Amino acid sequence: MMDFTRRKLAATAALAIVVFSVVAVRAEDASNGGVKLERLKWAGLQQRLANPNVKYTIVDAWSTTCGPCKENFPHVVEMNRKYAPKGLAVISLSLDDPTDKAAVNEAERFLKAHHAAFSNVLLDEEFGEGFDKLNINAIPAVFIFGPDGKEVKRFTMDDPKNQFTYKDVETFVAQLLASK
Amino acid sequence: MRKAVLSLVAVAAIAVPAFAGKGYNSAVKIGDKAPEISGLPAVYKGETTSVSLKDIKENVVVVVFLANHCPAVGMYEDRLIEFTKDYEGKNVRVLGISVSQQEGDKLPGIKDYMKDKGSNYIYAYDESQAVGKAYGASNTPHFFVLDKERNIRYIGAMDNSPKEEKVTKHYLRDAVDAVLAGKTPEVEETRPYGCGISYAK
Repeated sequence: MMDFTRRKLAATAALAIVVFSVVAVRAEDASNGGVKLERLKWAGLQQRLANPNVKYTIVDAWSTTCGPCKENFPHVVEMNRKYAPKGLAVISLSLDDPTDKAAVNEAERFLKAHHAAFSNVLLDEEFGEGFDKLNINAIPAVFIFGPDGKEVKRFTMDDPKNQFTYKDVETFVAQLLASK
Repeated sequence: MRKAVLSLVAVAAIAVPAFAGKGYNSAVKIGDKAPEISGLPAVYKGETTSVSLKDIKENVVVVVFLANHCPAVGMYEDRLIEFTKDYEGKNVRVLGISVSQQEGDKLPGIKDYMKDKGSNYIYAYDESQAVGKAYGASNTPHFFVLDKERNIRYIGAMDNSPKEEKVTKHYLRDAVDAVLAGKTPEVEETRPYGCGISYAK
């Protein structure tokens, strides 16, 4: 009798643990909205940028080794929350070394922690090539593309006398969406 | 007709982007007189000193913008130490400059960093960030090679890969060798690689 009760208790406990962990996993999924980091070649990214279903696409170029990028990432999340319903598609573009597993894992962890519920791309090209492709010296850098995939505007840190802030970006985006 | 062509030329001249040369630097281009560097506090061989471009006697000066916190600077540190060692006594002076306003990138941080890494170059701190702005320094590391007349002869990256084992082109060494030999560097400008420099508004 004792034995049976114990077994039952043990079984119940085990079941509870299983149920609890399933719920916990689900809760985590829900909280990060299934955030994932997707590998794309430069050509694949270009295809993604031509998006006739939105008014504009904004791309935030960042990496896990870039302090200012990470500090400002909440602005990107906020722009998605505010402007996605108004026709803005948001893409985060990691320029981390795609062959560096630790960096890629860290990028994924960071995106999940920030609930980056939009397209998160890891540029799957030779490390460093993204800067040439985008024609920038440094990150963070933000780009805005029209529905045809053509660049409308870029914000960079490359000119010491004319560096952007994310406030500049948001002001520009708000005006752009209001005018179309 | 001639007038029309001329005005077209004028329009083209205005339409040239603000970026000089190949388009990697917003402030200076190859052949420009190097902007002044004057009275910056610096560390050399563990001692605090002061550095001015006009006091440097060597024929070639390599100015490199650095920041202790930057992972890319860390990746290049061994290469920079080796470069400085290899060109010692060859009429080349290496001058590192931090314009970063992060606490660890200021003079005391520089002293600790150099001791820790065994850095053998002069490493100065530009609190005003004016030197960085004048050179259009956008990255760390970002290299500038100056000749005897202190004209800018090379701007950009040290080599073609942050991963030392993948380096196939030694831009900085090639440029310095050329200038020392009185020749024009084959590659005069490349895109700098590394952390962006944040300037105070």
